Amino acid sequence: MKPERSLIDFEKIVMNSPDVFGTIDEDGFILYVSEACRNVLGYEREELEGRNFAEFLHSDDLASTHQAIQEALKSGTKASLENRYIHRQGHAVPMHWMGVWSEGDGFLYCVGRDVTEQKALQNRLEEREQRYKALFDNSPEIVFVENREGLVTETNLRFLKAFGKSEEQVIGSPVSCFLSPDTAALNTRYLEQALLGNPTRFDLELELEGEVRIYDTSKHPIIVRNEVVGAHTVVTDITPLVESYETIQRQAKRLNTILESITDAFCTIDRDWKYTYVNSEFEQLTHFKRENVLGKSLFALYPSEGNPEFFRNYRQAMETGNPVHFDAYSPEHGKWFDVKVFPSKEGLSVYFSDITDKVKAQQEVKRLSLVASTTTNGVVIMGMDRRIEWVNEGFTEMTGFHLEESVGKRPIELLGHAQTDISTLASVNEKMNSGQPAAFEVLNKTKTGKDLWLSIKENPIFGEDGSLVNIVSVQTDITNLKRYQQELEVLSLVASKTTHGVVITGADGLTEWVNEGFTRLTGYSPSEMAGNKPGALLQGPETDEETIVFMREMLLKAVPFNTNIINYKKTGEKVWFSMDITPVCGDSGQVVRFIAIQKDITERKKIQQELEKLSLVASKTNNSVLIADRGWRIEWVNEGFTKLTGYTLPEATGKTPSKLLHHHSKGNKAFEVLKEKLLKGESISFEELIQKKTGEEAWVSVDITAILDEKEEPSRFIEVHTDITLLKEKELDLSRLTMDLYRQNNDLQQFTYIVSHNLRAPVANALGLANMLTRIDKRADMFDKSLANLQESIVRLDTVMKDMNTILSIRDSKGNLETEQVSIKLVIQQVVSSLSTSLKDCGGVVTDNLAEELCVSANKAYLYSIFYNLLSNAIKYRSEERTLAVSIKCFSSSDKGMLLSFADNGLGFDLQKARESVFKLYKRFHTDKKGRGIGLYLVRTHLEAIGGHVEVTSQVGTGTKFLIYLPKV
Amino acid sequence: MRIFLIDDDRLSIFLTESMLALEGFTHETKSFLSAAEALEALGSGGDDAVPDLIFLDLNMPVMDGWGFLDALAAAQLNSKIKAKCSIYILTSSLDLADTLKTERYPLVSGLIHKPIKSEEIKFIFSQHPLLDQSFTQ
Repeated sequence: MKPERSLIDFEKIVMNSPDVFGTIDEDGFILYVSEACRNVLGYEREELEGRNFAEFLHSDDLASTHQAIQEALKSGTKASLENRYIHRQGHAVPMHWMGVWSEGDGFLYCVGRDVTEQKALQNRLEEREQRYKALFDNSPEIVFVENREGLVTETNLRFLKAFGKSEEQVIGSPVSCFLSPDTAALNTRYLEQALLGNPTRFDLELELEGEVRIYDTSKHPIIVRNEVVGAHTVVTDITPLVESYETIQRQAKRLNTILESITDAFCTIDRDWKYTYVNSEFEQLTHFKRENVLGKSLFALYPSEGNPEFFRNYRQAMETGNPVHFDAYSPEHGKWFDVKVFPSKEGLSVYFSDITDKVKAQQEVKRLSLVASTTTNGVVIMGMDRRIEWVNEGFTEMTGFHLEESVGKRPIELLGHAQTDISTLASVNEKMNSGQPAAFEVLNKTKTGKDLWLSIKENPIFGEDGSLVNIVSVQTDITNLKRYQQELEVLSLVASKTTHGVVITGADGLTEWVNEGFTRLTGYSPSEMAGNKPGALLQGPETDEETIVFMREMLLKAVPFNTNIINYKKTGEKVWFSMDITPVCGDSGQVVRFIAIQKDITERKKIQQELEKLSLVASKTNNSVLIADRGWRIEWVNEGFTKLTGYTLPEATGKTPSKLLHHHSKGNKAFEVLKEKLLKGESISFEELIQKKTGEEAWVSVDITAILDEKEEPSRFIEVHTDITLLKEKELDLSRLTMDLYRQNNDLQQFTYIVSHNLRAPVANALGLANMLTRIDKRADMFDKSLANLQESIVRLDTVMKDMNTILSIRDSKGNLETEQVSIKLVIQQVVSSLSTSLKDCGGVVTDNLAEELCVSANKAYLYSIFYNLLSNAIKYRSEERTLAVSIKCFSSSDKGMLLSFADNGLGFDLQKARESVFKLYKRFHTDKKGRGIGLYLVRTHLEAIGGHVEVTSQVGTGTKFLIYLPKV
Repeated sequence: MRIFLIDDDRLSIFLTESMLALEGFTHETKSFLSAAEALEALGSGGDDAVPDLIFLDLNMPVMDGWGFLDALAAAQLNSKIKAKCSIYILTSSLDLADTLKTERYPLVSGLIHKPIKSEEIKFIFSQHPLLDQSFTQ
């Protein structure tokens, strides 16, 4: 028992305890607080004692604290609570309180501990758990935990989403509920493994969210105290991974196919010089089997001393990392290879192909070149594409092109001449391609542009496989040969092929050579002529002495000349020759020989003479004759021509007939049509109108004959004119007469029609009425009416008869009318005055611009009738809407006649409908006005009787205008 | 029963009308002094406007008888007329060409030379029962 000591100890404990000790009364006022309050809350004891604890409490904790204290008061038991006090510096201090109510003291004893650190620790723990939870829940992988019974105890959100289930549906169920039978079985098998403590991993094909994908699934056993309590499963979508893998595999396969199908042999060698891949072409070329090669070292297959070229290049590629390309001979295979080596990180990729044939061919060419270089001929070796691979010195000497500038070019590019015969080359090419040698000659040009004729022989050279490899061309310069040949050809062409005779004489005039033409022309053979003077054999009695003298002089002067001469054939037949004689001079300038070319112009001479005779005849004929040269220039005209046209021979000579005789016409159509015929040598005839020198015109019948020369081409034209003017005029008269007859016949037909209609109309009426009257009671109204109508019918009949009389009298009067000079103005004044009453009634006005002295030579009565009818028509068919105005104007007046217009502003008529019959008898264009339809007919017939005519224009509602032509003569 | 007379000659119309009356035709006759007027009358109304018989003169100003027939065709009245009406040309012309020309117009039933005679009227009526009835009644 040591109460005091324990008391002292207690006080010390309280004083030094980090916990706050205190007492408060039942109202909450602090009676005592231990020193610890300074540390915990930052207040001194004195500052707290006597104050209510609630003042220092966090306002959120007031209610809970009060409640806890009240419970402690009531129950008298220990109470414990947590709340927060506000530190003097303002921050909240979480505290854990233990308190007990002492009934005796009436205090509440309490101990408070600052739990800031514990609180912080706890928060951190909670946060961590939340974080893990979130990680678990939000993991993109599907995660779930199964217990030993295979039931799901935990899943994440991804799981629920993937299977489309809620947590309640999943927890406590086996996973197999959500899987297809196959996958469920798989899962179960691996779960068993995991429950035995072995982590497992496997691929799972799941159809989730409507899509079959591949999932990498791992199951880990959950071990608690050395005992497996369940398995933790993570399911990861690895579909993209799987797909990429498959793609890679596919591509590898494709690459393999490519490598197998390429025509080159191919292999890969790794950095340890071991074969890692060979294709089938490799097997074929090397005769190594794939399985014997792969994994083997290069050195095992090929001893390095035998193939130094290969190994040197391989090493170089491997060391430098740069591709290498080389040709080399492999003694193992007895073949030349073209090798391409591509280094990479993995090692080397090697492509190679067999070029043995090519190399051999090249070697062959080289050997050939060696031979060719020693010949003086040009030798060219070309590839099958005709590109030059080699030329020898002979070629260079001939063409000027050196080996270096020739290689790679085609011969035609170097030597091509504008006149090179391409077709020859094409046929040579054909031969080459079919394997035959070819020989040809071709015109080329040298480097300096000189013509170079080459004779070329080409031989194809074949490779071992029989294909064309090279062309060897051997060329010989034949330029000089060709030149001679051409000259020869020209010469022989001139001399022997010509139809003309050629004679070559020496300077002494003795014949050295004659051609076939000469023999043909003269009948003398070369042997007969040799050594003789041509003249001595050919000239005869009719040969013109003057010509012989002229020739002798010209030969002495040694200048070229031409002359025409009569010679005699061997048969004695006389011929005309045109001679062209040319002296040929030697180097020193003196004449060495003469060349004479003779043309037979006998025919031409004959024609000429005939023409002369013809002219003689022609000059005496009455017809007009002209002779024109081939260019249609007049050479000669006879007196008849001068008589007909007025042009004399000097005036006409040198002019063309068309210009002379057709000043105004543009070419003669009749002639153009027949021209072809004329040029063929036929005579042509046509008629044409020519103009004489006086300007008068004349109709002539023309006959043209062409005279053809030896080439069947016209050399002259003979044109004969016969004056047919009178005939032509009669012809025209006749056609005029026909026209007249035609018109009169037409008139007659019309007249018949008129008689049929208009004369018979009143007759028919009268007939009908007269008949009817016999059937009607004389006392009836009808009788009187009919009688009146009968009377009218007869009056009408009379009128028509009178019209006929008028018309017939006009027709009869034609040609024997009494004419006098009549003033138009006076006639019109008479007409106006006779119609003055009607004019006054309608207020019509007539105006004119005519001069009183304007006269025509005509029948006055007719003229009166014309204007009377026009004016009375104007009055009758005036418009009620306006005052009648008639205007008469003279448009133009000449010696021959005058043009008048007669215009009104009346009703007008439809010209379109009436055009045909305006001026016809008994034609009418108004139904509402009375009239016989004779007025305009009379206007026309009267006008025509005096040689005039009339036209009309009209518009309904505007008026009518007549144009009247009156002749003065 | 109606008859149209188309003739520019007043006297001729008088004569034909009188002759019809003498032959006992008591129904309406309508006369037109120009073809244009007749054409208008035919074209304006319905079927009622079409008479049973038309006497058509040939020689008329502006539009003659032929012009009238052409105008009927142009106005597409042919079928309407054909159904009900017969057209007779009544002309003073003795020209054979006119007689031949009628053959080109199927609408024309015949050509009569003026003046029209009793027998001709009787014949026409006999060809047209309706008209004939209207007479006998």
